[in-house]
Amino acid sequence: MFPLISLMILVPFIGFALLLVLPARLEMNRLVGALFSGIPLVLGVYMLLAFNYGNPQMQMTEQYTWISTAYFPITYSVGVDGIALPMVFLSVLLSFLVVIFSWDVKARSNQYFSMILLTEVGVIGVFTVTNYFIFYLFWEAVLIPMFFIILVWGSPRRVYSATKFFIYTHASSLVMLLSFFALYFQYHSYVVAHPSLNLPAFSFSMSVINQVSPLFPQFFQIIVFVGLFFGFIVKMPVFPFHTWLPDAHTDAPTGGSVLLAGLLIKMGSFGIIRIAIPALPAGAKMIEDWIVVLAVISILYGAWVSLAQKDIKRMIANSSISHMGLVLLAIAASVFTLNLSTGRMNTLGIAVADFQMFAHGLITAVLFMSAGVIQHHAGTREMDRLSGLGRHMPMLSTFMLAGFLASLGLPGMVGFVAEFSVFYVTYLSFNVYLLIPILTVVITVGYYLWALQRTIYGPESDKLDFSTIHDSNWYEIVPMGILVIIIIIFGIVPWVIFNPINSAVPLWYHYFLGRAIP
Amino acid sequence: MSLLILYFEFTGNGAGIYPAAFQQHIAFLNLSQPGSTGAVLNLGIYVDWLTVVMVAVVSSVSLLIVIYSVGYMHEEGRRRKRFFGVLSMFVGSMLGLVLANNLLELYLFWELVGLGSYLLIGFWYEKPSAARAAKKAFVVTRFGDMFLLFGIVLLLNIGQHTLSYSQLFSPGSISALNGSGLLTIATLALFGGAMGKSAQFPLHDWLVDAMEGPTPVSAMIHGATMVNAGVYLVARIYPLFTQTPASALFVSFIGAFTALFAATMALATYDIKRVLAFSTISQLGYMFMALGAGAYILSSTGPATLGSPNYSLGYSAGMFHLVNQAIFKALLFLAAGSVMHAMGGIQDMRQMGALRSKLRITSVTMLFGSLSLAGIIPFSGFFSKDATLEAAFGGISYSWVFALIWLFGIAAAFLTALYIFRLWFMTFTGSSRVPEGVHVHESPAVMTGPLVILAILSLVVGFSVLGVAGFGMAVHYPITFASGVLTSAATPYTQFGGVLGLLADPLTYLSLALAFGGAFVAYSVWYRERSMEAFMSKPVPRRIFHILSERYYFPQAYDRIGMWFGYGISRGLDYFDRKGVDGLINGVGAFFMGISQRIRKSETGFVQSYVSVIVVAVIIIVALLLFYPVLGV
Repeated sequence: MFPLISLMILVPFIGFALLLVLPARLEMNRLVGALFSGIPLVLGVYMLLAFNYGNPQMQMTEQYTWISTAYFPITYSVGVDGIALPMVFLSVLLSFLVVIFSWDVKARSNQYFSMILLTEVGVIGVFTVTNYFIFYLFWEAVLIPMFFIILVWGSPRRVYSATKFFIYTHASSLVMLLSFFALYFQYHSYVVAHPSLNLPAFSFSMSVINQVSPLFPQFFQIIVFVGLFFGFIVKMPVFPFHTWLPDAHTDAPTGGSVLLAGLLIKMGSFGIIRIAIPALPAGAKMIEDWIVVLAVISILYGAWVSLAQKDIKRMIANSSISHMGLVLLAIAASVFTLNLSTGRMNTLGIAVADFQMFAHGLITAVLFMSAGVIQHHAGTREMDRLSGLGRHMPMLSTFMLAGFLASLGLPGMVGFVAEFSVFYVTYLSFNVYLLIPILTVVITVGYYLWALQRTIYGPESDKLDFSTIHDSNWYEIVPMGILVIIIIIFGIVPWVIFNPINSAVPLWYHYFLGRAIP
Repeated sequence: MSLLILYFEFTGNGAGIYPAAFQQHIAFLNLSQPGSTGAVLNLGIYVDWLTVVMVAVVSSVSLLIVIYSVGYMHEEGRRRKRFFGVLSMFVGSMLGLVLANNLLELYLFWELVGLGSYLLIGFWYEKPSAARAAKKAFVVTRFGDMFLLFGIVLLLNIGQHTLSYSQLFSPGSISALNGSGLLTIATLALFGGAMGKSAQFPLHDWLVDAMEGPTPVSAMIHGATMVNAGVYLVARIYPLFTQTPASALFVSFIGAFTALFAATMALATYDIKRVLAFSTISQLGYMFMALGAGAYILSSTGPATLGSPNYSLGYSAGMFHLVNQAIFKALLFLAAGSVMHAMGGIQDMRQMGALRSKLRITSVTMLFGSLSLAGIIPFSGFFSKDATLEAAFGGISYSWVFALIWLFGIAAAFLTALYIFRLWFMTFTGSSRVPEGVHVHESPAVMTGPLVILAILSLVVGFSVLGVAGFGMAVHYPITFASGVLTSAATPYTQFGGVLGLLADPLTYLSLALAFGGAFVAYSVWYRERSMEAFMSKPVPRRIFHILSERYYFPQAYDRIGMWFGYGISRGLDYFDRKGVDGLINGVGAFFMGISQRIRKSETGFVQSYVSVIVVAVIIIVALLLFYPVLGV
């Protein structure tokens, strides 16, 4: 078995380095970019085929010691299980499609593609590592290229947005790093106090720390869980820490927005699923009410604010808050089923959350691409100025409609399955209170259809010069088409991707499942 | 295929297919924790008599509408491709809906039907009104669908955690659902979805605006497909309604109220298509009224009094009316489309009149449809509408509310005859009010052909179904779960009455008299072209007419609520987001910027000031170290 995951991380990194030293010649740069993001995609498809779906274990694992000091041992260890599988596939897919979509990026093409590839490196790393320290390294590695993507290639307000994005998410990840160290030291003192456990005295490995961290004192768990949770929900983002997102998404170039919404914000919820809850279940249980409240507020608030937006991209960005709120709601539903004295928990909600992340990643990419096409061809994203695009851009209108319908949860597409599953687990935990978050399906339809009415429907706007507007180019339509096809495929056979998630979650959580937690 | 099934249906004497259910399915989603059972969702096909009837209606009426569209849409050029593509998707989704074997699959196609209606109503997307109407249709039905989704999730969580019909309606499942105490909420929630789709009060208004689409689309939505989905849903989950009298009563009441409510509005409309739209809403109300009444009677009597004459009536009558409504409403819409075609797109009846001589086929076929809708013997609408009224009347002995429901139904029957003959007389008789320059011409054969076929159907279906094998024999509600076996003693055929039974019933003559009365009033006013000026100038009639023509101010109320609920709140939240939440974040940023500005001033660059600070600091530290033991902390 060759080091599949490491190759997936390494190849784009080589591409990143290579592009930095290459001159800025678009024709050559984009081919290099496509090559170095295409290879990981091929590897990702191979991973999907080679993955043993019956096995909930971590697969394709690799482990190399990086720092072997006794007090600070750090091991580079990666692997893919059912939780990571959809996210890794999403990462390689979206990165490649973003490169294609940016086929004629105007300025500094070498740097642009290199930044996209570096983002890919970081995101794949975050989704595959099983070591807290390396996780942090990859986590931060994502921040820097994205900062530059917004700063260099963004819209007029980009400096403000890029700075806000950087400071906001960096501050939150420092809190996360502090929490990692708290876990690290608490682990050490716990192991020293319990020599019979026969565990290494120092470790950053998730699977080692998570064996004992659920047994840490409750006060410690609450404090550290809140730290981790804060770090993750800022990234997700969740009300009230969401305001960086509309700015960053709106001012980023289209490729940047796709990566941001498709992958970066998934890192936050992935962190909760992968790290925060299995490491510190009692902490999660103690603040479960707050998690639910934040989730429900995010869902409805994000949807409602979307309704007020005039900029189509800003509307889509705000809808991400709403949909990521569904992810958090599913997680909260699962936490609610945790019984601390018996250690029993229904992990279905976690699996559903992961599935919703996958679905949202696919769908939101289509949405941002369609907004990008409109910006590109019509020159504006203000919905008051757009009208009657349908006649002039039929291809775009078709795929935009498909994306919007997928996002509002039309059955037959993956968004519906995810949404339905979220509502199912919500009912499992909260009974008829489901009536509150389910209101989002109506608001969501409202803002999407209203947006359609104001852009592609209606008479031709007199504020646009329709003689210059033509339909989208092939490199814009092909990525959207591929995504729509995948959205429909997984909308019809969702079990293909859901079953491995569902079987992997209990295994990853088995360190505390069934154990009495203090 | 479906015609074949239809053939079997009417010749097989009811014993052929029922209750044969093709139980094939494929995996969809397994929502259960590993190692324990949970919700296992599959996609599959389920066929019983109800399905057969629906498939027959949907596919045959749709076929005629599609043939008609070939003529109607011939001027649309390249856009016909899109039209027929979406139309096929629409019909396909509807067929999927009725063939589904579980509620989730039904919901899946249910939403696709909604999508089809959205695309078809907004077919002329350059028209702002069409775009608005399409959005309204989708949003309002989605509001109902929200409850349907909730009901489905609820059903998945109570009882035996299944949505598949064959399991859901099994005796064990029913008793488990009853035990949960949430069945009433579940059925009401599911009915919420039906209210949205079938345009029942107060979610009725979208169907009127849906007239913005091409006329064949209206015929499709109103006759063959979309609005029937709600009725089908209630019929499909009938076993649940028979357990929940409150829900059944609610269904019946909403249906009867809608029947009357919509019929009144039809009187004050001059748009030929909108009159028919109100008529659809009203007729759907009749179906719900009958279904609800039947379910209520069943829930009250139970298996002990199977001899009760009405136990099967409501169910069969509701479905029978669905079949007939599909036929005559498609006929009426297509005929109206033919009139519009002849008039060059004019829909206002005030600009018509005396078209009978020029549109012979259209006027005659439309008369057939009108007679059927008005419930005049021997057209099919007579049999089914009378049966629905009888079902409601039968409920009076179980609950006084049904007296009210029956009165609503009777009043609506009178108004139905009134408004449909008002339409017919205004359009085809009297003096011509056709504007100058409109060349009135009969439609081509590809359009009149389907009209003739539908007209014949609207005449014969009532007879054939009652007379030969018996619609009630085929489509009835078996109480298998209650008594364990299908009780053949209470023959559904006799319960449904049959022709002779109907003729012997005095109520039949009452409703007939009302229908004739309505038609006569229409005749005396609109055929004779009596001036309404004197009557309408009085304050009370003028005021009533105004309210009716404004549709009881419902559209305005919707817009107001929509603007407030959607736009108002969202603007407020958006402002809060920018100024409140984001302002706080920027405030934190500004705070640190300010502090750093202050601190920067201390970096003076003078060595003396640095040294002095160091000296002061050392003194403080030494002092602290000295006093630390003293303080004893």
